[in-house]
Amino acid sequence: MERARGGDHGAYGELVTRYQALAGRTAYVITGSAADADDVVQEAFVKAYYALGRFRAGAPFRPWLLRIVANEARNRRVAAGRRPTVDLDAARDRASGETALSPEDAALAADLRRGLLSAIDRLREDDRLVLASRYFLDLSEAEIAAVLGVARGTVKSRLSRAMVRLRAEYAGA
Amino acid sequence: MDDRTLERTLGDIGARLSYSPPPDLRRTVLARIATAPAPATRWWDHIASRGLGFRSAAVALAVLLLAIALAVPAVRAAAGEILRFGGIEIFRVPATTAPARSASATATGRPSATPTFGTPVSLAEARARAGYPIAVPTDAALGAPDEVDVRALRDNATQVTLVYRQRAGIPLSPFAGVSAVVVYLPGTFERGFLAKVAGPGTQVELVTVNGTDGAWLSGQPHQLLYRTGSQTDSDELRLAGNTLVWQQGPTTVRIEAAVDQATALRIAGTMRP
Repeated sequence: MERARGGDHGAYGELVTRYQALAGRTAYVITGSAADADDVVQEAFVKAYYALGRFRAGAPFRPWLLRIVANEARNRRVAAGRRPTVDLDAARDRASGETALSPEDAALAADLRRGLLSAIDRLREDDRLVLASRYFLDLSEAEIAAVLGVARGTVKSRLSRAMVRLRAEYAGA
Repeated sequence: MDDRTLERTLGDIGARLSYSPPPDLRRTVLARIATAPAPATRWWDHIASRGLGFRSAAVALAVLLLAIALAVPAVRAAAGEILRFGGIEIFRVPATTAPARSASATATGRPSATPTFGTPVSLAEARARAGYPIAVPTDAALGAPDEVDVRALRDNATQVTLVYRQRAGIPLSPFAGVSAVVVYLPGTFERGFLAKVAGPGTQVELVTVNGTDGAWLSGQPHQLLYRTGSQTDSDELRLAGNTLVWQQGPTTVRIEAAVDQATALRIAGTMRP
């Protein structure tokens, strides 16, 4: 991190490698488009490089980077003007992926996943994003706050409210 | 469905998202930063390094401003992207040298380095005149406002400005002339009442403020343009630095201060209705 801040491109390349999956998935969840996510993640890493001078030494890098990614992704989503949805990897979503389950149970689990995902896609954007940040991306509270652009203290309550609405949406479907 | 099943299933969905970043991402990013200049400093760092004071910077920018379109319709026509929040429009323009200023704007559209925000009154009177709720930030960085100004706008509407003259750790804005202002506008105006014109050097980020949509404008100062009367020739135009703007209940609120986004959001968080 420090070497990257000093202008060491190789060191910055290491940061890109280390965080590209997280940044890319975050961009994908927000934009709901793989092509947009590709652009966003590239743009965000370039912007983050130029913003390194404003990075506070010793601060955690992930939330800082995720905020840049999220802002870029949000702008892209607004420009695209459509409702974001994410897709599941068809191969991995197939029942055969779950060796510990019987074929019936695996099929049920896959149905459950698809049902929940479609319920999440019907929620309002704030709810969708807080759930996706917590469960799809496995982000910490500080990171969720960075992605949502809200104060950290509000993440827990947003999450629990979103969870209630998800249950209602899923039950009502 | 019990909580554990729900949470586990959501986690399973995350593990199955069909996305992985482009394989050549690192190479592409490094190629782009290799050909571009070194990390940019902030605009006021440039000013400082050239030995210009804020006042002369403000003058220089005011001159630049005069070359910029003042009339909202012209800006709207030139804008690459328009973001809207209630009574506010943010125009994203490809360059801030574009259309010629209108004759009416030339006559009276003067940029003012030290704008006045209206008549100072007590907070109670401001609330009475405004007729909409005014939450005063309780953030320690600002403390209580030094002044509460009201200004009559057309249609019997009132703008209320909380003025923070000088605050430790917040540089004086060369544009507002104070450390911070918090401005309330009733949100019932038609579009174009308040416009912000952002050139390529201004970053416009969509943010969530107290649970609603807002925007954070930072980087290069942007133009703030609004009408104080019913005629377009009474447009007021000035430059504004970092600004957080959002819709709160029936009002459009903005915080203008040379702070970072996190600080602005924190301050806004203390104004939750």
